[in-house]
Amino acid sequence: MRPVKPLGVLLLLLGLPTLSWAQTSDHLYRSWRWAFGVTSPRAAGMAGAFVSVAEDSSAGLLNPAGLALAPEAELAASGQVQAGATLEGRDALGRDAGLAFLSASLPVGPRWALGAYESRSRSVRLSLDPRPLADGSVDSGSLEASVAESGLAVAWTATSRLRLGARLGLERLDLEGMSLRTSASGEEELRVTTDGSSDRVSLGVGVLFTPNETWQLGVAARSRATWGLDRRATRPGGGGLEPDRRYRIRSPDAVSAGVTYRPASPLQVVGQLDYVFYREIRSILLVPRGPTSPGDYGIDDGLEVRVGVEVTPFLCEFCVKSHLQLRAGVHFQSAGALAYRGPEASEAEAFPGTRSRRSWAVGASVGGGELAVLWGGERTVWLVGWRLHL
Amino acid sequence: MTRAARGLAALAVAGLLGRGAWSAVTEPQVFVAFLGDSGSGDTAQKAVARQLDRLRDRLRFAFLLGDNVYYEGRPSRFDEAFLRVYSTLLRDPRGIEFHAALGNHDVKGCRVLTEDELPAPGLDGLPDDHRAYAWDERDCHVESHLREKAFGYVGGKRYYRVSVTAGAGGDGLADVFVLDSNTLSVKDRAFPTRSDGTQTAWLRRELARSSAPWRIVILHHPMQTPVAKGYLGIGGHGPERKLEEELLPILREGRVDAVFAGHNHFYARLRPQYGIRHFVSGGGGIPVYGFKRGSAPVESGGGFHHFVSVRLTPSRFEFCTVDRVGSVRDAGFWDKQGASGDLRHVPSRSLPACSPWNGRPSQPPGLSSRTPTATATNTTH
Repeated sequence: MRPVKPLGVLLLLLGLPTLSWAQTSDHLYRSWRWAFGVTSPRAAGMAGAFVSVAEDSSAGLLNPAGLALAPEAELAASGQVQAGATLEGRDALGRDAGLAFLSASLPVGPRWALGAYESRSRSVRLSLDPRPLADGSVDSGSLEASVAESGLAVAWTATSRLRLGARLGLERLDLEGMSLRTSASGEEELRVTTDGSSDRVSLGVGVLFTPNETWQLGVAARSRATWGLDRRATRPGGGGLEPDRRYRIRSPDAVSAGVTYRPASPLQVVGQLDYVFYREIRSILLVPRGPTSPGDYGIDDGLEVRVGVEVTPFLCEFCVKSHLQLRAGVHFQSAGALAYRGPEASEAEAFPGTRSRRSWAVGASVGGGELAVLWGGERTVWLVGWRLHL
Repeated sequence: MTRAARGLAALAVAGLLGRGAWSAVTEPQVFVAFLGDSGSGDTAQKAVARQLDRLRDRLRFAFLLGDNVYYEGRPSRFDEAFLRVYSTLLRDPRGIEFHAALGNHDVKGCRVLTEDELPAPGLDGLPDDHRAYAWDERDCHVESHLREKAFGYVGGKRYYRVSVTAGAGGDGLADVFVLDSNTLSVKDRAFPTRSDGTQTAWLRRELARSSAPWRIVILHHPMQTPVAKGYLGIGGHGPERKLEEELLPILREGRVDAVFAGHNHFYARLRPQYGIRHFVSGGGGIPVYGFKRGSAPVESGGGFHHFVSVRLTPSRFEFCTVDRVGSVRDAGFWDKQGASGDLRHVPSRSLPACSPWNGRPSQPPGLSSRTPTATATNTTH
């Protein structure tokens, strides 16, 4: 058999087609970001810097190649509480709680491993702040959306240093939104409703390269789903009923590459770069009507840095008995939101763009329990989970 | 001649050549594993165990080099840190024997008896069983260790000899002398005592009686070791000079070939000292760390989880150090007839001790096809 060349696999991954969200320029989406949460508490505790660690059942989603490193069958479950928050533009994110992540892994012989996962990777309830724009009009409304992924993964140990993995999943989107624009005189100018709910197939591949015990490299690529949504709009003040439109919305695609450095196994330091392909959003942006054009909206690809650290103390009975692990991390998030760059003042107010920001994380494992807290990003998130080895 | 006929002819010739080479050698062999500081019960230990399991159809002995149950050796953790982790090996119907040495964490809550506390008046030295220890201010679990059959403390003794044979009734290929270094002259012991003269006298006597081709000593504390780097206050341990002073004359006199120790959480193979090869193998499961180069005559090593696979024949000692992901980190062999220090490195794929990790057959042409089926374990005190 011809040896597998890691460089070739890497090039293949980088050459995968890239997808991004599409959306409309309806103000309904003015605070929408394309950030996805990492819902495994262990990975989240390291701020998502996990593609080069990926040695437990959560690898099925985050880097399927890592399933081959899990030495035993494992079941994991976690829930999350997302705090409410007021965003930069004063729109509000509602509090949310629920199941976050389910995963399972099973080694099958010395070379193969299987995994399954269910992740609620995005869940938002946005309320638009009815603040007056430059032309005196006011937007109000809400947007509720959730994305849940479930799938199967397989990993193969190609050589003792190289592991390859792939996953096949279904991503479910449920989205419902309504916005209303009223003029300065209080007349209703535009009412937009949109909704959609469907399953789409998504794919992912990953590579883990372990040249020695000190270093481990990981690459993962995600090709996400594209859903169709319906848009209905009326302009009571002028124009009447707009034709119903169908538009696409896609989850963000990203290629992640990470490196894990273990100067000693009680300590691992992880660095990860995520390249998020945002720019295609502009090219497929649906601008239903009005003086603006897609060219007036801008969004740049994001190069996001994640750094995580995990410590495994072992110099006490409690530490060893409880398999205590402590984690921390930081995620430098790119803006990831549309910014209007045209002449319309009110549109510029609606889509000012967002700043890049830092999101911090801490986490711990004690016994089978796991906890992670993330703050500094869109909102504060608590994740609590349990991991069971069979 | 058609292509198919030519292929068949080539296969026949190759088969005849292979058979000739195969049958020409009738050396018995046995596969043995060494691993230390294993008893964490965590993912790393299970990963190492998973690699060890790949040797299961050949393995006949597994020697634990101490610290078999972290952190305080509690029996409540025997299952999590030992029995469950190696369950497939322990249940194997071919009978894989585990034999353990006591590490400092296995006797964490114990202290050694003082002169006044010796159980038998006039007894010249410490007992060879759990009675050598008493409870410290914490619980002492050494008796539970020695009585746990799966650990293989022969006769419930702290130190004992294991005769490693190839096949039922076969000649012994090696004698493995398992020591309790906690009661010897080690500097980090929590219990000040005089040296365990009874144990050293036993070792001298048993070595003199041994007629096996290979003599191997295992113990927890290393006489020869590089010094750990000491990340995050994790200091590791230096060489036990006084222990070496105490044991080296006995080992030289007894013509010991190799010493396997743990205690430091890394792998190191050192240059032979007086014809004795020292291995430090403390990466069986507990978190590992590296060591400072140049602090000892190290020939190979590093901070990684691992175990050492050894294949013994009457004339050859072959070793293969495998890490938790199945990479061969060190491999080689030396022959009994060879001069001291005559270690030879060959590609690991040609070593049967490494065969599960090379995807190669376990019995390459030129080696014995005899399969060891049973082993005799003796102890003499």
